[in-house]
Amino acid sequence: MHAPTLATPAVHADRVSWSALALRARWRRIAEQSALLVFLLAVSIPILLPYFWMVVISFTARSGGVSTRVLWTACAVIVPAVIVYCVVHLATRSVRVRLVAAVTLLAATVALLVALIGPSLNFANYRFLWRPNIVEEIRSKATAGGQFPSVWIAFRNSLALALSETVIILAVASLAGYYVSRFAFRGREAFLQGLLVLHAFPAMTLIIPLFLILHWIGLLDTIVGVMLVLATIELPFYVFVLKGFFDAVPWDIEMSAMTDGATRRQAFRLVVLPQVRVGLIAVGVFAFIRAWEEYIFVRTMLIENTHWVMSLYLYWVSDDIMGVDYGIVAAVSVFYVLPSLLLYVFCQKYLTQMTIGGIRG
Amino acid sequence: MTESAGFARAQARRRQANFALFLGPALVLLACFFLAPVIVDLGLAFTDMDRTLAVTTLTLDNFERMTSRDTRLLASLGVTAIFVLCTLGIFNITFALLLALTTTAVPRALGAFFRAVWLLPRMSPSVVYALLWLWVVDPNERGLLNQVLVHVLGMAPADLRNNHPLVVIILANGFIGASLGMIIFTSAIRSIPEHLFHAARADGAGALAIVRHIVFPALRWPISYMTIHQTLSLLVSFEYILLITGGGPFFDTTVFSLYAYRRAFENGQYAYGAALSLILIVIGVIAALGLWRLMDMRRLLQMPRIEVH
Amino acid sequence: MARIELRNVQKRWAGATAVERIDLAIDDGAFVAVLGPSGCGKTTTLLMLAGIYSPTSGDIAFDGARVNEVEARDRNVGIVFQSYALYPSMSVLENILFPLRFAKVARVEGERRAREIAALVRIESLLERRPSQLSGGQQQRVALARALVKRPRLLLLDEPLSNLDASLRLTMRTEIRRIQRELGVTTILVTHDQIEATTMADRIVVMNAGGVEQEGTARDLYERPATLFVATFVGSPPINLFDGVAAGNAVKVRDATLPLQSSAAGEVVVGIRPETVRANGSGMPARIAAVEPMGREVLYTAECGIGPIRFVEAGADARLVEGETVALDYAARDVLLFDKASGKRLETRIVS
Repeated sequence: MHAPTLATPAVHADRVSWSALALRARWRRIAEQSALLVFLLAVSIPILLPYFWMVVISFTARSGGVSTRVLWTACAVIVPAVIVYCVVHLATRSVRVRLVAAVTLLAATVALLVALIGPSLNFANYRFLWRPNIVEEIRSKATAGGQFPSVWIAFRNSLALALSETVIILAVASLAGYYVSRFAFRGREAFLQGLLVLHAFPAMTLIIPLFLILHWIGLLDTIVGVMLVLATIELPFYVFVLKGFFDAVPWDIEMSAMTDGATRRQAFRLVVLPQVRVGLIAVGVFAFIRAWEEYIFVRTMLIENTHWVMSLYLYWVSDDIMGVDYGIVAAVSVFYVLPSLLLYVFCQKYLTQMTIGGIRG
Repeated sequence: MTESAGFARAQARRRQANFALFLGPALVLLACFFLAPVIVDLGLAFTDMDRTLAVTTLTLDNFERMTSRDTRLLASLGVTAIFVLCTLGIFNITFALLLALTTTAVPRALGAFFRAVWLLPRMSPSVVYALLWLWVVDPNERGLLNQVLVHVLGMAPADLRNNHPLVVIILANGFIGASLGMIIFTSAIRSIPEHLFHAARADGAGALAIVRHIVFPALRWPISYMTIHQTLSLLVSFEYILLITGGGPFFDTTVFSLYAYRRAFENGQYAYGAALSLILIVIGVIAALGLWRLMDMRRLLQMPRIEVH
Repeated sequence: MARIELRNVQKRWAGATAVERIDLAIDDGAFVAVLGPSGCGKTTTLLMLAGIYSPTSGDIAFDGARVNEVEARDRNVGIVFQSYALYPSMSVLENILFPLRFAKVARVEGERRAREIAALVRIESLLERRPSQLSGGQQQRVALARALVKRPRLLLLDEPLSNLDASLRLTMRTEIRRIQRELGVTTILVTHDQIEATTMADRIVVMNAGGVEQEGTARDLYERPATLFVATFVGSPPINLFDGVAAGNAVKVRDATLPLQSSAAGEVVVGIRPETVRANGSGMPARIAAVEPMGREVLYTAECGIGPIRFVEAGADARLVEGETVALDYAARDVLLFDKASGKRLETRIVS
């Protein structure tokens, strides 16, 4: 008979102390969550701190050294506020209490910051935006790299590069993505496999021959040349991404367009393309940000300083005057980062949509 | 009869036109700037191109130099091995796992916040990120690291860039590398059905047991994929190293890929650089083929359903 | 074993209320079914009992002690999920052994208990297989074994039969009943299928929209449903409903008058169960509108003075045909009356 061995849990279990278990559970939960939080905060601070420092420097440093007084003061105000809020958040479940705490802490923090470090803040370092010969002024001589261009020239070049590359990529990748998604052609499978291999293949290894190819076709040291190279290197990835979006468009829409008399090209342009709007925006934003941030290829292939893009401009500025004026370098950095940061923040919901067969890129 | 034959011809013409219109631009770009460079590199490796950018002879000199005369190359191979193994082992895989596990164990919004913080390095421009590292490890009192060392820990200021440059590049690349793994592993953890966690909790499993028995089995595939993917990525990328240490002091942090780049663009030895790159290209092709096998091709190859043009 | 109590339990998520209010007491060793449509909160209640979810307010008590804060792993509750939730990377034996790891049972003793339980649920031959190699019924039995091997004080079953085909359902119904009787473990079964509830459990709790509608034996629910919802949910084929008005000594439904005195006047819903209607020659005139042979009985739908009415006749062959005129008879004492606004059942008295 099974009953005697399997039934009734052991007698001692009946004497279980539920309140002790409940207490233990509560402590366990607090300990676990605190440990996790402490760990996550500890590893996040080394990342947040330098960025914050950069912003602070850009608003405070005067030529000469850079003091960290402002940084540590700001931290001394912000960190306790954050800790206090964390404690409040964990202690109570009431949304109202949390909100009240957050608002008061925020107000207190801002007030303290304004009082303690407000006077130290200034826009002096951002004068590179309206004084084109900033480097010469600081060094009081022409530097080894020749005359520095105005930051706006570099900005214009970056914009031109990023925009044109985005346009090229959107055009080429959407055409190709649509074709491999919707048409049967000889070699389709081979083409897709080839694209996948190219996507996984590290393009950085080709930098030397690419340099020479651009030189031979006369596109070295031009925005056009760099743009074509960058667009091609990223192309396999974007073709796959857009193919995924095209795959998701129901066949019925196209079929009904064709029975309505459209050719496949018209069906593509009028009916299918609007359906992948989200994909196009995602690819466009992503491509723009990548081009904006590109360094290694532009460094290798752009030589004249009037062709510089923002990444090169920042590099040479820092190389030249870092030891002398941190403030300006920091200000240039902030100015450079701002556009891509804004794009990331505002287009986040588009960027998270990009996948290739489930693996996010 | 002639009508349908004419129709078939028109169809064929349109099909070719469509092919050219839709696929043509991509094919041209890929041929010129992806495939051609591979061939060019192959050829270049057997020449003697130098600063003059002129080819005078075909020779096997480059390979001979690679295998017997180049001591710097051996050193850079050593650097590469240490760099790849440490960055991969400590950050790209291990720390990424840790981040994925911890950010999924806290409430959702909080986890998303910390993941966003750890994505910051990858999402900033490389120049800015490198600049921040330079400021952090600045050997003067100014450097953030030295501030902490001196004022908080009471130690002497350190000059990491000159004395322990490998540590700097491993950390710098590691922070970047951890974020991709973190994203992939997080999404894998999120796709584990919730009732498995419920069942484990009811069965008496604590947090660590759940990680060991429920989470890790589900991460086996992503971990293998990431390992290969990140190894390849670390072997060929040198952008941050170039920006932070320049490969130095001297050649102390020059990994193999950077070595090829420096020989070509700093010393003007384009042919030699091409020969060195060839090795990387071959490795890249093999790894890419390997990764391709790991991916689910069937889902990507859905057959089309309209046959008319 | 344990006596389980839920006192004024409520579960709210950000935005929606899953469980409005539950008061329930379940005796040690009882087999209780929680019956209700999907979304009524029954699975949430189950998970609160297991400790996976925490009540927003109210208490859950085991043997009189409040256990809201006790973690799932300390409650010694066995739970069989609707999806079975077998660990895919482990063999059947390892799945069953899993809870014993944390109960600090020695490996040898653990394996012995696992094999004993496997014999009880009849899966001894499958111990080396992986879950993906098992059929639905086999997976369910593995899940059952895993829940039982740790000798739980409470066994929770979430829609255990819904993923099985008809014949397997019948077998497992008897199996689960047998195991529960043998082990005597307090069991709570959650389902939307009234047949499951009435054939397996001693007592049934009917839930709807986050609250308890009625609690009792199958017979109580059938003969004395507390609300209109219970009357509609329990009973197959579903009860016939007609709108009517109760006034004075009678209830008027369209042109017909029923000799019933209701305990409250006003708008009512009249319920007549199909099983209580007979087409035997005298009564309301009706015309057969549809004939559906159901195998063991035939279901007729007929149009009569008070509206469409369903009734059944035993036997495989249909005696009546479509279009035929019949006279339908039913007993006044079998008629159920519900207040239209609140849905509560009204007491009736037959007026002679």
